[in-house]
Amino acid sequence: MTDAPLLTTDDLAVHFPIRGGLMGRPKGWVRAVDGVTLNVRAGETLALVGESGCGKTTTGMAVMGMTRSTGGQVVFDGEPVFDAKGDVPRRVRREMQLVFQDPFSALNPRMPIGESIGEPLRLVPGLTARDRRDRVAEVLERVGLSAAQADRMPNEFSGGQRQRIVIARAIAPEPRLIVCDEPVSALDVSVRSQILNLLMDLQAEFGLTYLFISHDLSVVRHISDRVAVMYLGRIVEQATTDALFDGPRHPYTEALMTAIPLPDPKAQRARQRIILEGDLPSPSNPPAGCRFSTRCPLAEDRCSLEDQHLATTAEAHEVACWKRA
Amino acid sequence: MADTSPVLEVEGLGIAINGLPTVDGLSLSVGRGETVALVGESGCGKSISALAVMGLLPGVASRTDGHIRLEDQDLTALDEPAMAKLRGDAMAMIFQEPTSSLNPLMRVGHQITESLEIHRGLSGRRARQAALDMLNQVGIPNPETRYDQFPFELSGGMCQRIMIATALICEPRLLIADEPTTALDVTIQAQILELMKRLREETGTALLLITHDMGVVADMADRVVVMYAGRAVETADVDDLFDRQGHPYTRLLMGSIPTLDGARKTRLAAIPGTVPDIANWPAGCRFAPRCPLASDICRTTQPPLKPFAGPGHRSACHHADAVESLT
Repeated sequence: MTDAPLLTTDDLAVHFPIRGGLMGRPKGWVRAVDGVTLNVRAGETLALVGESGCGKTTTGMAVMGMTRSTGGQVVFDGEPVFDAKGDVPRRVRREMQLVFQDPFSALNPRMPIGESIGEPLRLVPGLTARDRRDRVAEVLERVGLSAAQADRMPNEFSGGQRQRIVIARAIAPEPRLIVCDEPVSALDVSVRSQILNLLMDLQAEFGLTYLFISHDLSVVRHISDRVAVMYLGRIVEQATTDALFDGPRHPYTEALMTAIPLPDPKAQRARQRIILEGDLPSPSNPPAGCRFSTRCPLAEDRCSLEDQHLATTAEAHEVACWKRA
Repeated sequence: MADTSPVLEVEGLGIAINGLPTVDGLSLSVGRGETVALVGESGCGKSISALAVMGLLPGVASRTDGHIRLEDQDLTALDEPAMAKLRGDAMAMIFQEPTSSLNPLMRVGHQITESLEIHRGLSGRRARQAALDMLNQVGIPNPETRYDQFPFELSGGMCQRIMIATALICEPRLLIADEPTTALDVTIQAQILELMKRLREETGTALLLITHDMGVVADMADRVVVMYAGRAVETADVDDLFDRQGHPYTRLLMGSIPTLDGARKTRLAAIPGTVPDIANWPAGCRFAPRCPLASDICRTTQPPLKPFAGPGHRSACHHADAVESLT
């Protein structure tokens, strides 16, 4: 692992218009991502954690150039994800790949899996059809399937096998970074660990960098090097995995951690849970000041007046809370 | 905790879907105030078993064997009108997807009072008052306003509270909760689990909790029944099960879950292969094709649920004593 970031987002914002205003003008904006700054170093796994609607998937999409940012920018290995013409450069498209949550909708049901896996190889210059076939066979074997299965259709595979196919497609063009968006949430528990092991093996073998998007803190703790916690479009805490799990600083991170029931009945009974009141506010109308202030057990008047930004507390531990900074 | 006579008793339940045996010889009982977790992966037969208890099996499915008793009544002997009288009254069920389980065209208040009208003949102001009290109990802020709203105006967590309110309004002796928090975010899940614990203490309802999440099991259950491919493979008190597993499936399942205090970046225990297809259940023990302990007898002879370690702990494995050696 080196310290040079492979991917950076600088004050990234993605606001979606709410249509239906006068003369087709938007009547409001959903601030899905609202000022996110991330550095993903080559070879590391950075986890982006949060609950539904916090903007983690939109961040992943913006990183991939699959949704246009409305502010800030994304730079991959020194090159902006959108070039001057507004296109994603071929090199960036090849070197950044994506693994989706739902392996059932991530594969074209009418395309043999070998063809699906071969698609991104069209981005690699100088490959013949024969090279592509060889590469497809190679990655199929690498993810634990057999090359002979390349002509089969997706419906002939189970969920876990399909996720292996999606991973094979992602590694086929020899990417440097893979955005994994909830790669195991749709899988059965007994299959989940197979896929997590595969992702860890591939990272070690090819020096891959992962942006790992998940809501599952125990999975995140297991496989990531650093963690960024998102709430309502903002990052509220960022630290190394050990520092974050040993001593969460932001009250939201604390609540999130105690909310997960531990698979250990005695420890679970002994534990004090922080129960947050109420629901996640709407990202189209986020609370003033600190966005967590409406649910925060520590909130004071100042919290709803003053916006909170990430500040470094200990070494490489950043938190967006004046009470905990 | 439980007194001697169970609220729900299921004995040797068999269910077929399109003629294919789906659930086979399932037995369990839930006492008053007790929570029994039915645990397993998708397709193991846990939800269809719950639907059989409620008398809500879909047309393609039928009960082929066994008895289901709710207190002193044999539910398998009842016809549909008699079952309809029990549903929402003596027993109730909540589902995984709160937003699709509520009627989208009916105000939430009315969805709660509906069963009061049907089962208690209560209507008008008194029903409304009872529903408002219930909304209060399940922690809905501004119940007066919410009463007249439609499900789409509420969040997922609120809809789940409404479902719980509709289920509990007639004070059922048995509540079945099928993955009640799976569709919810963790901070909302924590709220709903705390709510269910509080209501269980206040009402003494017997709770059959269906889940695949071992964390939820550890948090909620008194006893656990682990299902694999249509059969119960292990049953035990919750502490005993987490202390010592008597079935390789349970053992490996628990080992495959990353914890918040274990080693990081290590390879996780994995169960090779996938859950067998219902059309091709393996002969003998159905876990045998994936089991590291499997021997010849496992592939030919179905192991019965027999006593293991402590009292009430039973495992269906020919090699139960070797399970602890598995990592």
